[in-house]
Amino acid sequence: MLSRFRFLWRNLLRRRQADQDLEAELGAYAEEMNRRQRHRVQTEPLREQVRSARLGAGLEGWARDLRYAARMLRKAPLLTLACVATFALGIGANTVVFSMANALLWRQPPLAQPQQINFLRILRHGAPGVDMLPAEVEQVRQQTAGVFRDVAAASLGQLGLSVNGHAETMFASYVTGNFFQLLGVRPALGRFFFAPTGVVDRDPELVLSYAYWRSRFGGDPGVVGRAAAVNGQAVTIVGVGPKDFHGISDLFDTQAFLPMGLAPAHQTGQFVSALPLVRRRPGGSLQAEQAELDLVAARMAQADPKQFHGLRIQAVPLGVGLLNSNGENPFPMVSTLFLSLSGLVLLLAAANVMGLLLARASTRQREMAVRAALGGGRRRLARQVFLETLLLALAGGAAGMVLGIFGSRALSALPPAGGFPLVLDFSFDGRVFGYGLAMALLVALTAGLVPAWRAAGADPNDALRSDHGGAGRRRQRLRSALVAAQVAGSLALLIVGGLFVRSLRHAETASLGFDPSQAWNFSLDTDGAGYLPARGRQYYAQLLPRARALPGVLAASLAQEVPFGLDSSATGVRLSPAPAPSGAPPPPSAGYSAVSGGYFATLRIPLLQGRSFGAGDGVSAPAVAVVSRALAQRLWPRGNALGQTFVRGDKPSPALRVVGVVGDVTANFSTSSRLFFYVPLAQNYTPQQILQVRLAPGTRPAAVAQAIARLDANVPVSVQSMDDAVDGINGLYIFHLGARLAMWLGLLGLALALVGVYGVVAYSAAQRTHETGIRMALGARPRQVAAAILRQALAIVATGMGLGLLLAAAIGKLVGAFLVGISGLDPLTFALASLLLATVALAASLLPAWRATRADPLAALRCE
Amino acid sequence: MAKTTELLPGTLDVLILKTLALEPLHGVGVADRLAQVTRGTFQVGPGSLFTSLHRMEEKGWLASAWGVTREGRRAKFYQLTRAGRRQLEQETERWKTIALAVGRALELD
Repeated sequence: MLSRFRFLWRNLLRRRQADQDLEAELGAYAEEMNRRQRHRVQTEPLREQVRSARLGAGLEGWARDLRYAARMLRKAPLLTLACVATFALGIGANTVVFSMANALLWRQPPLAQPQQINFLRILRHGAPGVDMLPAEVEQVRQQTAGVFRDVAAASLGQLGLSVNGHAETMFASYVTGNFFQLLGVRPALGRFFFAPTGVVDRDPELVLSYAYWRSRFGGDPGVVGRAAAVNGQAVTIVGVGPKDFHGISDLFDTQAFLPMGLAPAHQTGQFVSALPLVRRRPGGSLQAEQAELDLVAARMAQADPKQFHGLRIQAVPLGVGLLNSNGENPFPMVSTLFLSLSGLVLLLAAANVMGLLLARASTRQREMAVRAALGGGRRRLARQVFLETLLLALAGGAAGMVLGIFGSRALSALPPAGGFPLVLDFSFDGRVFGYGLAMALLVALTAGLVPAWRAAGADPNDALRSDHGGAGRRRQRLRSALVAAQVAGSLALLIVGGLFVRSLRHAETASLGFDPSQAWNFSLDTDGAGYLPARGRQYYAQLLPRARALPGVLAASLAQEVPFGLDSSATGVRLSPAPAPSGAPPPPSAGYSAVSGGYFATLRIPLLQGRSFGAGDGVSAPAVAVVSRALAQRLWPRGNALGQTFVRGDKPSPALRVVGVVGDVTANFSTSSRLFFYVPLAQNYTPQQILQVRLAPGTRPAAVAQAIARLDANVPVSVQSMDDAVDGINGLYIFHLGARLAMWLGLLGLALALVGVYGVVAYSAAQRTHETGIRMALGARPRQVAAAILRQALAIVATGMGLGLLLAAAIGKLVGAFLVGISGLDPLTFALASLLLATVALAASLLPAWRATRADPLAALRCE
Repeated sequence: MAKTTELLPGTLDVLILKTLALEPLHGVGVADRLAQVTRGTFQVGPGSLFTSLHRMEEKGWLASAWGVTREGRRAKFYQLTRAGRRQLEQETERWKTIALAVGRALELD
């Protein structure tokens, strides 16, 4: 084996030396034979025979062909540049899209054996909800010791961190003591919490995330051991998490971690919810795990039917961070869609390059024929042509990945409004580069095989005899088909891009059901100041009248959640408190919020029936609710909703009596459901509340912020305009991103189609120079000549557009679910995109057609 | 001229190994010795001879070195390596088995 490597090395890299040695050996042999006067020996054929049997002889041939291919490409710099640029655009677009999919779907945080880690998803009363109480987590932990090595939990919330007297709102997780241990992450600095077995510990300690440590503390290693205050409580910073670790979600950065025992609700004995995480024992499977979880859920339901009737616990693999409120992960679908669209762009690029190569093949027919006549094997010729395409694709791939790096940087630097710590790291890693390389090889195959096969099939006689052979016409037909396909793909891309843009416009201008302009949200957290509920109630009771009294404030109210806010809650709603019979359809899920009086007036949500909340809806008053029109129609399709009662499924509470019906509100764009109900804040106190103010036109919110600070500077506050919220992470942000990406892909496809159409018309016009010359000589007008060329071009474009409309209709049906306000078959989009493409194609054909009419008839006739 | 026969495929290598088992030889020497031991039955052209020598060297069965012939001329000499000797033994065994089997089959016919 070793000797083979040695000789392969020698034959490939020390070729000259090996050849000299062989030459000397054969020379000595020839000399000896001559001396014996047997016969003359020619050493040349001998040498070739031995050389072709040597190790690596095949590789050597490849290397020679590769050098030849590179030389041929250098000789046609314009064509080479065009091909490389086309490939670069196609591959660049693909790597950008893939880098996003990579970050959203496949990139793993630095966890130990992540395949063993799962989330648990809880379904109560058959309706989805994600969270679990710590006590329930502990129950699961004790009962599943057989399959799980450990069960941990983390809850997520916003709190105020104050260091050196400067308070800032941050996203933090309260985690059980075994959280980091379960995930298998190691601190970049300092240590994590000491709680090897206990689930809950109360040491006043804080761990910072790597990203937050970098951004707020500038990566200062002296941060460990520093004193800080979280929600007014003194804590010590004990460590910093590892790089690329963002907590339970990879989508946004959990900026700090605190022991679960410090959670305010834990201290006040209140409801706190947490997301359970489990690590199964080595060798266990998801199926075994699920079977065990089913048993545990059944046992818990039996032990406490009131609390756990219909409880299901599902093991959900650790994919992308948190799931949306339906427990679904939309990213695979979205990623597949955009990867397909960018794949279509790449196909168009490949078709363009193939068209260019075919056009050149006709000018190279003579070269090929000469080489074939001189004994160049057909396979060898095909290989030659293919290697040229491969070189083009690799160069294009390299250039494309450079473009892609800039493109994905631009996308990563597109932060949503509202200061949400979204992790937008679409940076390139080995996987993205691997994908780019694979795409380069794929386009080399796609664009290179047909020209290579053509080269192999070149008939020397045919080609040497004449330029106007039947092969040329065949080639032209293939190029026309190629351009038709390009037009089809490009039209489909344009339409899909247009759909996304129109969907964005719709979402932007859609009637939201409330008026976001001049409305501002101040998110407050009395937990952040370390207040118990009694003090918190007092604080909010003082805040609201003060805000309303400020000059320029038209209206003000308080709410637990606002449309397009960071939090959104939903629960199943039923008409009767009795558990639903098994087999009944799951109850409808409705969003909800607790709001103060004046909320509907502040946000300008129309009150359709009944009344809003008032001072009479206090803690001891009957439980009441206001429902959206959609929910009223859903629960009481016939009859009046006022005075009716319903039950919420998420927590034990008395039946809610409907006192009012309000207009439907779009709370986010990810669901078309408008089922919503409101309960009085007074009856559903929460320490995190949002103050809404509606300001008179031209008024800035600074006065409100000052008033809040004057009332109590300890309560952390963050401000966001309602317009920004609508544009933000739960609003239009994703639509902007999607529309931008789809539009760029569409324009890229359009540019490629433009080049393709121009190329084929120009080539066909050039081929017909002779014919044109004769016709002009016989008295044809330039217009007639141009019309003949245009007719041919437009026939190709029309065919392509017909196919493109069909393709777009198929894609449109698939993307319909992601669109707001329009269907996937939106006629206006289809018409506008078709018109745009037709115009561009016409423009691309006009120039070469016009040029054909300028041909000098005599010159055209002479050229033969 | 004695009646010559085409070599069975694969037999050239083993014959060369055999000729080299006694002493190192250069190309002409191998050809001479082959003609001699097979009493002119096999004529080996220089093309196949040198191709075979180089191939076996690349496989590590032969080692080569420049030397001087009895007539005082420079030539490249080939000699068996340990791997070559092992190969010769294996091939000889295989050849015997085949020869025996083919011989038997032809006699029975």
